[in-house]
Amino acid sequence: MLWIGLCITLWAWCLLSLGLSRHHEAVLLRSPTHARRRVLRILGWGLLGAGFAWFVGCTGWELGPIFWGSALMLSAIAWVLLMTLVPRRSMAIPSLASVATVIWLLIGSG
Amino acid sequence: MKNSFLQSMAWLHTWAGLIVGWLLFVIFVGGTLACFDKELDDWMRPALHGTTAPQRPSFDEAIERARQREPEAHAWYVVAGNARERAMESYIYFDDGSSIKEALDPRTGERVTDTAGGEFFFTLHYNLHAGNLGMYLVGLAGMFMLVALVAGVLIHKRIFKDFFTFRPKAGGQRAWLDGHNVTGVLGLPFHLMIAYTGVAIFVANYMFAGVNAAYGGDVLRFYEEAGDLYERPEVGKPLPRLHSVDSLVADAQKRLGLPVTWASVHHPDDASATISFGGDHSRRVAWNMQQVFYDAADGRFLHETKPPGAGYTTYSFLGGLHMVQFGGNAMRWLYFLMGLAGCVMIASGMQVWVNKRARRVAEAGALSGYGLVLGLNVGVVAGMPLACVAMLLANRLLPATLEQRPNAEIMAFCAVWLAAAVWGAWRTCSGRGWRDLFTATAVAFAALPLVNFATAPQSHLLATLPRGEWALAAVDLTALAFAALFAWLAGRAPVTETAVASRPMLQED
Repeated sequence: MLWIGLCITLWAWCLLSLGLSRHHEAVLLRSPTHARRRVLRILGWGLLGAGFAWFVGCTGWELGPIFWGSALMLSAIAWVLLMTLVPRRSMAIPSLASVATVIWLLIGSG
Repeated sequence: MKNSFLQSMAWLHTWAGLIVGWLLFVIFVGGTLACFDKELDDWMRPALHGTTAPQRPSFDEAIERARQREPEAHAWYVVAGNARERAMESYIYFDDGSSIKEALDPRTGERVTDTAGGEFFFTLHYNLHAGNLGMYLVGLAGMFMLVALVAGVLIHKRIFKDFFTFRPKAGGQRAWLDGHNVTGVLGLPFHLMIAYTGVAIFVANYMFAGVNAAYGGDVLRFYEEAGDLYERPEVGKPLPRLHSVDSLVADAQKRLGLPVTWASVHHPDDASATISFGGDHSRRVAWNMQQVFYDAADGRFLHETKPPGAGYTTYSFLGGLHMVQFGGNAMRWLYFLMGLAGCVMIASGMQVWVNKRARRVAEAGALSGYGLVLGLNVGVVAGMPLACVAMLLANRLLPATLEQRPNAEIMAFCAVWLAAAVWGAWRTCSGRGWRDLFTATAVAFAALPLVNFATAPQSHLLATLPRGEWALAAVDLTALAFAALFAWLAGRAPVTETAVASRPMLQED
């Protein structure tokens, strides 16, 4: 539950930050077009909402928003650290985390 | 200087933060560790590792022990062993408000070696082990923190532009300010929530006008009424025979609709004595204040608390939000990490202030009290983590037969902190304070799993991991993670930074 939610919010921050030219250049080494920035931002905001739906769906209206808020804060800090420490490979971590979570889920259900 | 709104807010942020900065750091470290207070309690009682607390709690042995020890106490209160903390904890409260505590084996009711445990950090967090005075100091620090947070948001001109920005390689001031901003801004909802709810928990003590007007200043009576607790006056006749507590558990469980986790006997030496039961707070955000009361002489059901009113529910929701007993381990880890972010925010904020002054002091050519501030900063910020891990080490290393072992652990905590502060302050003169203390902390953290391995055969990683006791293993693994973190910090700590401050002295020579 928590890992999937953290993956969603981590991707959300990743896309939102890439929607800013400065970070897009640092991570992907080229400046984004206007249209690309828009798409990244819309996707990022969409994932933030999806994270809310995920946590509320899993833990209910009482705990869900608290989980969501906590996950947002920690994944934002995690993403900033990743972009700072390993800018070129920063996207590898959310990718690996997502893949690991999917595999873990498959093993768990299988 | 303060001729614009932003400048006056900057002034407010600096001084509101600075005045309570070290105090807040201590409160935050204590609170962060207290997320896992019960798990730490459990880790620090190796005698019970590898055992399981019984499904159905039994209180009678513990109550009988309390009766033999203090028959005329104000109340006996027994918390059953549970999955988070195996030991049964028996508290005896006296009429003057003081209390004593024993840890018991949940299977036999026999005494086990007790520890200051995670509860030490919890108490440190809310009153610094200084009673009411400490509680007021912590409340004041919390209010200053709220002021500093709001002023901090107002003065942050690039809050959205620099939302994701952290430039540690930019060096000096820039790096510290970015670190302060990132942990402050991204963790802001948590910081605001935790400061606000923390102050709100003791609202009746901090803002007592209402309680004074309606209850003549009797805070306890206010809580009694708000929580619909059952009390009856003493009759002055001795209680003929105490009814079995265990035989009432099933009925209490049925009435409460949830597992009973604690039992209490009120004024047990009087015929008016009552037995009460309640559960834990793990199901809802708001505290679970539900209790049932029985006559201690014949076991007759007396009273069940009504659901609290809207005001009290709001209060216990805010309190519950702060104390994170809901949401299980997942939520506790999230709070723990956000608490760490808060520690970093405070420490880096202090660092920003210190560095800024370093330049000014160097320019002015006078040291004044600045050297003391510099030394104290190292002593508090780098000394406290070392003291915390020293306490865990002391728990494993102190002789088992020692009288007052919990006190000895606390002494170890205080002594190591004092020594670290003195050493750090002294070494700061040559600019090596941070590096020395971070190195020592890294070594101490790395030593913890090894000491655990050497001293506690049931408790080390090779024993707890195969048994699947994750909470115990997590303490050792987290210690290793912190060892790596502090080693990295020690490697990064600039050796020459404070040489700026010592330059004027050289010039004077």
